[in-house]
Amino acid sequence: MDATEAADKIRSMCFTEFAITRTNEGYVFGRYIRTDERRKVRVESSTGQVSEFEVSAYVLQKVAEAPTLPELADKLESSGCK
Amino acid sequence: MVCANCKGKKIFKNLECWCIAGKEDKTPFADCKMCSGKGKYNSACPQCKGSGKSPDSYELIFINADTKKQAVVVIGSNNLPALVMTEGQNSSYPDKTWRNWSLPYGDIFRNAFAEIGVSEATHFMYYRNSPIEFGWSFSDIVVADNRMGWDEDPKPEELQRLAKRAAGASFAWQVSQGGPLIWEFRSRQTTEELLEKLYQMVSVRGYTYQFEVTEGNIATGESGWGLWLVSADAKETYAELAVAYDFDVALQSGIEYWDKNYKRINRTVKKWKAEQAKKQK
Repeated sequence: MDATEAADKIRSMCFTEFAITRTNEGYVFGRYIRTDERRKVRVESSTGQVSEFEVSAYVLQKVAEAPTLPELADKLESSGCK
Repeated sequence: MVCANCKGKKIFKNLECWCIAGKEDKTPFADCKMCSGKGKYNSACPQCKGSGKSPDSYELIFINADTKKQAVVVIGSNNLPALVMTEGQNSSYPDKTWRNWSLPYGDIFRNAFAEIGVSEATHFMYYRNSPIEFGWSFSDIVVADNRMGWDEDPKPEELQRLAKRAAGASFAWQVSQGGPLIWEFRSRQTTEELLEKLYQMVSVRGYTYQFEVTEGNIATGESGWGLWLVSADAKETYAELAVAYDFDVALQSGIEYWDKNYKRINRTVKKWKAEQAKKQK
């Protein structure tokens, strides 16, 4: 398994709401977890309408780490993505 | 030939404006940029840019950037290869009832790539100087299908009409947008080498990078890989470096984007950090 296959394997196992961060030691897989904190967001649509609403704040929680992407994929396969 | 998208209409009239889409009371937004508060707008066909026509033929050029070798593939709606019908009985899918008809350009493109010595394993494909998914658009052109096998199959003359239309539509979008029909191939490093290269490039300036699966960032709404510039401790996200369906394409795009824009991004991040520090005082 090369790095591309490993990344695609992680994607198919863990779907979305995750991030793979490059570090000095290798790669960290983290899951986004919703917190109680709320943040105000202001968006302008292509029609020019401006809406303001509150969204939940998320934090990235470390789940697994490994020196290479194939090793990270193997770890996640045995431990799960959460 | 007549544009396959608007069928020669040129302009789509009285379309419901986005500012009332999904609203129960259907009240338009008074200052709407699209309809000026009318609730409806007209739009030129995006495929032919309002000309009502598509080209009859396309000359596609493929270039190996390293050797300068070129291959040309012509798609001419008046000189099409024989249609190929694929039946469900020959398919690996459990549903054996479907049939589809296609123009077998996939092999023609594969031969052209082989002729100039490029492949997905050794090269990235570039369109307008940006890396794109290898082989994008370069497969058989689907003309018609009968997925459930319940309807009557199209008659031979109908199939010929549909085949001409499909061929005429195949690269109409690029032509209407003024895009050249030239694709370049540049030799590539392995994914491992690219991952390392990007890390060297961003870490020397005190950053790292992060991959996420993004939804909706790609125009058609499908999910793909997003590549982000983040702080060394990964607590702050600064910029989107690339988004692509393929992991490798996102990586290569990110490397090239950072290479061209790192000074500007670096300045923006420093300015933002200074503002944050001021706010905290």
